[in-house]
Amino acid sequence: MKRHLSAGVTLALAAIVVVGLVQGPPPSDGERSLNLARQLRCPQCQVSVADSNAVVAQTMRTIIDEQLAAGRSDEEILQYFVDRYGEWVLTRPRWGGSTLLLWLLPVLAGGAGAWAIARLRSRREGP
Amino acid sequence: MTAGAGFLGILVALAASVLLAVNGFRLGGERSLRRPAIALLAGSILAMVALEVALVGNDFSVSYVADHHARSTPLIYTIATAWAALEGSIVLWGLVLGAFTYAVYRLDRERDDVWRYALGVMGVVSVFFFGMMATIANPFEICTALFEGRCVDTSANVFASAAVPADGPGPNPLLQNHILMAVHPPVLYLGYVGFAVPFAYAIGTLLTGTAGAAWLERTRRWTLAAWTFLTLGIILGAVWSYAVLNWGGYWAWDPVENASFLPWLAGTAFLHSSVVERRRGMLRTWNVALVIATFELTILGTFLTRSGVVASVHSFTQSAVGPAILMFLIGSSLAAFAVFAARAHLITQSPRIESLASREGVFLLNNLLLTVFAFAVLAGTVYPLVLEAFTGDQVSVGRPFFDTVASPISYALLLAVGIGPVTPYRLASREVMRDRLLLPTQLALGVGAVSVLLGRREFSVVMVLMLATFVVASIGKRFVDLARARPERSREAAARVLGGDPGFWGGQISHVGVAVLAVGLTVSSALASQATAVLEVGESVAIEDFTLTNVGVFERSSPAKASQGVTLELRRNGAAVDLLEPHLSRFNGQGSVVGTPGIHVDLSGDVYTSINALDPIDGSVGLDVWRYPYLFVMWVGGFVIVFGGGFSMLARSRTLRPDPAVPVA
Repeated sequence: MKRHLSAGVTLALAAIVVVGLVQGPPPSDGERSLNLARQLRCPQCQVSVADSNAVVAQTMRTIIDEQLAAGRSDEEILQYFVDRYGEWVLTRPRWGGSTLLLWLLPVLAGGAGAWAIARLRSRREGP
Repeated sequence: MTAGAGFLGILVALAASVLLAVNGFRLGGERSLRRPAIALLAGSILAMVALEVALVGNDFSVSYVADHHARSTPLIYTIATAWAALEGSIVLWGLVLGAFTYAVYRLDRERDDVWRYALGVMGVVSVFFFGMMATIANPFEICTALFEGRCVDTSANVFASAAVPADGPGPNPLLQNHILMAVHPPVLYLGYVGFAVPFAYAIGTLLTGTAGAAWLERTRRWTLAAWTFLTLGIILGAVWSYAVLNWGGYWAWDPVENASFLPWLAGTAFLHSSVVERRRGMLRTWNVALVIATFELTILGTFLTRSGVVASVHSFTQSAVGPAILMFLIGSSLAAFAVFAARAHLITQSPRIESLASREGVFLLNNLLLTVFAFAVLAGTVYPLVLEAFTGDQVSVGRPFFDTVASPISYALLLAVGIGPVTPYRLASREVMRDRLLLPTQLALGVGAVSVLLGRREFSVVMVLMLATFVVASIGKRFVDLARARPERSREAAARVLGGDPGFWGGQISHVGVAVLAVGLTVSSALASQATAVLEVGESVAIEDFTLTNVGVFERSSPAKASQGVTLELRRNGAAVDLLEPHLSRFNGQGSVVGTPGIHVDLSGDVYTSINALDPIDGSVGLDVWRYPYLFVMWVGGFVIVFGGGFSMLARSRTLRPDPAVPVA
């Protein structure tokens, strides 16, 4: 009885958390704008467009806001800047092209590690 | 004169390292190692002292002093100038290396072949660093020609007739702007260089082909020491970055920060997997490989920071030092892994894991996560360099990449931190795990539910609050259960539990620190807010429940710097709480302007102000303002992690005892 109660409490709490997180409001334009600015590199300096006060960074932030107001998606806005400055402008390289390997390497490393661990375990059961 | 003494110190240390390497690898007697070990330490001390004497004594005939010092620099920064530029930082590196080598000579009670090889390896590493100091990175050259009062030509001949400039340009402005500059580099070096010791023992173990429990005790103790210093060094570096660099943050995932984080990850993985070897006799070759990798990552970090391949405050100038370190990185990696490939079979044990549902299983998961984490950070750090070198394509790998990779791995790591320490070895039964984890799970979900009901919708915040609660509750419950099971009264029982296994509980203190740090880091960044404003005198800008008012500009000057800034009155809900003075400074008449933030710190979080434009005539100022709620929690967590490392080290050395039988459950 006590055990069932405890399991019930656990599930109820988990449900509240899950529902709460899923029901969160979609990101506002302000949040999206900041997020996009962080993913773009200021062409004249080392830092991201979000962290820079260079004129070009301010212009790029304005362009982001204009395009968001025009209803463009995040991908379209990033593509707009890639078309003008090249892949270099993205601080999070895309999944594909010359940066596919960057994403694949950690995944492959994880896969190899998991395989090695699985093998470690199965060796005991061998002949 | 001072230059001669310093250069002599370098030569003595170099000769001593050669002797140490030769006698170590020849497996010479203790006496043949004693003199080189002492001479190496003495030479490295002499070089460091000579450099400080030259700086403090304003001896501008010495090239390093002429290039990096100014008469007006205050004493504390004059002392720190010794490691504020390339050549001097290598002298400090050499001193730490000399001290560690002597410590290996002196402190190891077992004078066996592993120890001799280890000293030989320390000798080889020292040959490289003192060799650089004697040739391409010699700080003790003599200034022989002047142009417009600056030293333009130097000679390595210490007896050359000197042309002495009247004054110098002073150190890099960013490096004479905060007291931490005197502390952060030496502490970080203690960590970085410290990893050479476990590496030396690992190579020695491979070469002798005999790895008893002794190899592990030796490497673990030294790794723990290096790890604790490295952790502290990284945290102090983050504090420095926050207080000095004026960009409103403390960690940018820039290559230099990554360079310190990589050996930290590998060293952390070793600290965990070595426990599995100690308790269960598994993973020895993996541990040896991790120790080697950790050391090579410190050399990679040295290359990235000292070669100028990445632009940063840490990379000083283009010079021959970069290629030299790269050659050492490649050469030492090849040699170490060749030894590993040829000899590892001698020390391999047959792994026997009974079930993945066990402490060993969670340790394996931990190692997988930390290794993948390190791999991803390494890939992100060097990918742009490698890609550009081979294809000419330029790409950027910045914070969004690292954040994307780091978040899921960190969640999984936190979960493992909550589960692992309370999981029994060999086989964890359902009942035991239920007993130990049910309450922490419910508490964690309870915290999650409350924060959601209170309106928090940020995934990262809710997630980390839950995971941190889980970690603290799980470790706390285990501690209380163990203390209650003892016959003594509560206070004494708690002390007995801690003293009974100080290594373990030191680790748990660090784990709690990790959980606390994760909360501070996540909450302060996810709930941060930012504002930008141009304020005339008397005007205000609001950020959350704070307002900042421009009450006027000020000018200040000291011999070393001239500053202009603005005084901002900070009010919270109308009540005055602080005066902030962000300012811009010029050092020793140099052209570049360095911004210093004005920061208000309290328990509810920080207000960070930085000037991006200042008109001293009409008093208007352009400001960037950040509000970071509960940021102090992150620093507290960081220092708790360091405290845990220190606790393990000190308590363990005090209560050295034979390894207890494997406790079941």
